[in-house]
Amino acid sequence: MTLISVFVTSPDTHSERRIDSDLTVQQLKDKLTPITGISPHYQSLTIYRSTESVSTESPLASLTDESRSLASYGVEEWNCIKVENTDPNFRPGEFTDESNLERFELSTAEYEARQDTVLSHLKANKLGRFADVPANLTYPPPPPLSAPSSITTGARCEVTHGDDGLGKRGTVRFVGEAKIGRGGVWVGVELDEPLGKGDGEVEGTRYFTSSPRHAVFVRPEKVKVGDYPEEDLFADDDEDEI
Amino acid sequence: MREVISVHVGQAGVQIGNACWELYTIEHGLSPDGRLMEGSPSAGDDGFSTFFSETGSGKHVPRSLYSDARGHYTIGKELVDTVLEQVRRLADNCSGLQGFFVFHSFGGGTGSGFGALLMERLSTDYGKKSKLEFSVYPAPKIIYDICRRNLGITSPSFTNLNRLIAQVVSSITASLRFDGSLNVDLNEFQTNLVPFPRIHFPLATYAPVISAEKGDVVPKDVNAAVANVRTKRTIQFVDWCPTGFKLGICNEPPALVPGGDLAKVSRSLCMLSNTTSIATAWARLDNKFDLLYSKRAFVHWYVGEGMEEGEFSEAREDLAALEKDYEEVGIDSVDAEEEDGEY
Repeated sequence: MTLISVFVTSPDTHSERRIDSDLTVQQLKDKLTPITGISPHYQSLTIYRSTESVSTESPLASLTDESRSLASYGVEEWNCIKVENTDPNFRPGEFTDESNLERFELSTAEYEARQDTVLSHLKANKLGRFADVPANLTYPPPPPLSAPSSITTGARCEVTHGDDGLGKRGTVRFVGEAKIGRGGVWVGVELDEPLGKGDGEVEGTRYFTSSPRHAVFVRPEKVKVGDYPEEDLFADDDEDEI
Repeated sequence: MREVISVHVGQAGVQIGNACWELYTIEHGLSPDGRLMEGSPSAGDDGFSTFFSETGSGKHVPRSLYSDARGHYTIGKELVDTVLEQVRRLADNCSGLQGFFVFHSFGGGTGSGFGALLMERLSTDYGKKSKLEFSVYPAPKIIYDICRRNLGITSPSFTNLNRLIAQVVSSITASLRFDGSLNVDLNEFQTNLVPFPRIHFPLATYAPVISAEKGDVVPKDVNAAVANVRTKRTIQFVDWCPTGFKLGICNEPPALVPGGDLAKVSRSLCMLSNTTSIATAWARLDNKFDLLYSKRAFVHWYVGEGMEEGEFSEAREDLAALEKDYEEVGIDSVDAEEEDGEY
């Protein structure tokens, strides 16, 4: 028994295999069936020097005599065995073409009915989006209809974020009414760092163009216009313990 | 002693095992017959006995088990008890077993089928012990691309891939094997990385570090770097569980496998992160399954081994639920900003 590593390439697969070069062609075909999905009697085998040479060189041999051993055909380590499918009903791409794929989907109801899921865990423990929300936040104020005159396109600014008071700096690229969320006036900012949500397009409308994740749209009250030069990412020597 | 037993299943698991143990022996300065060689970094440190047992004559033997038995049913079912007996022998030789490392692929019948069976049985027999699986998925394709693009290997083979994987595994296990200023215990992987049982698929990232700075890496610097990453908000964390960083620092520089493809560096960084980005792997796997299963391709091979068709649909539903689980993890929580927040 002499084990060698070879590559096997077929219309739908490509893999590295360790095989015994004392196998007969017939025995090899049996082994290749679950690997390639092609029945032995529809397999046509040729050997190439390497994987690369399949497309650039002519084959070293065609393994036509099923009683002969691989070694007798001179199959060596790192050769590539090309498997062709001679089945007249074979359609290339049958196992790889996902264009007409009918994907199995679990319905929302079926997912909700399962007991061991993340959703059921979060619901049961009132975590994440199922956490209790203070009552005064259930009626949000109406959307703003104007922005302070200081917020103009091209102005440097800082966008406040949440309770932690951390600012994200950038340049105002859009001010005005926009069909975002509940409508009203929005300010589009191109951030210095990729801390935004998109590239200037929201819900199908493009307001400006930035690099991915550099654009953010916020309400005017979150935008402070002023002298906010770009921060040096590596300048701060933050030694807070975590 | 906090021992770890490594179980290598199937061709991929065994070959990765060879590459890993080759690297471990080099790192600990062990000779081929298992003796500590002169200048071994492990001479004054018994950390490596988590992975090696010492015989009466002073030889060090890997606490590892290699097994190759086809499938979840038929042959696999018959052999699993034998394998478990051998695991038991190794476990009985431990004074404070931490848990298991199980290496396998998802591709062939052994790694996936027998691997799953063995994991089930290990859970039954050693319920409280941690198990860390090293699974090669999604297909070696990605690792091939790394070899080609980043390491300049024109036609990578499994040998190249396995050495690369071994380097990553070595990094993950380094702080279990060497005494360091910050050590990690096996069960801490689970405590810190698994917020909910089904979300238990951390991704491994490995980077050699080339730095102009001199001197050792100290915990204070690493903590500061992590705090910095948190404030930058380039990574979003869920708010319904602690989003901890568990750091390990190993003072021993990474060793190289002879004939490997990586350059010698004095430092490397390895990260295990539990991230929703792995959900694309489930989506790809599910697409592939649907494509094949709709044509009943290969199904008779499984049925012939004793699997029932109902198990396919049950497994597919579970994976669909897992995709939805990851979607759920990715949904932002409701907070004051959300209604009129950022877009």
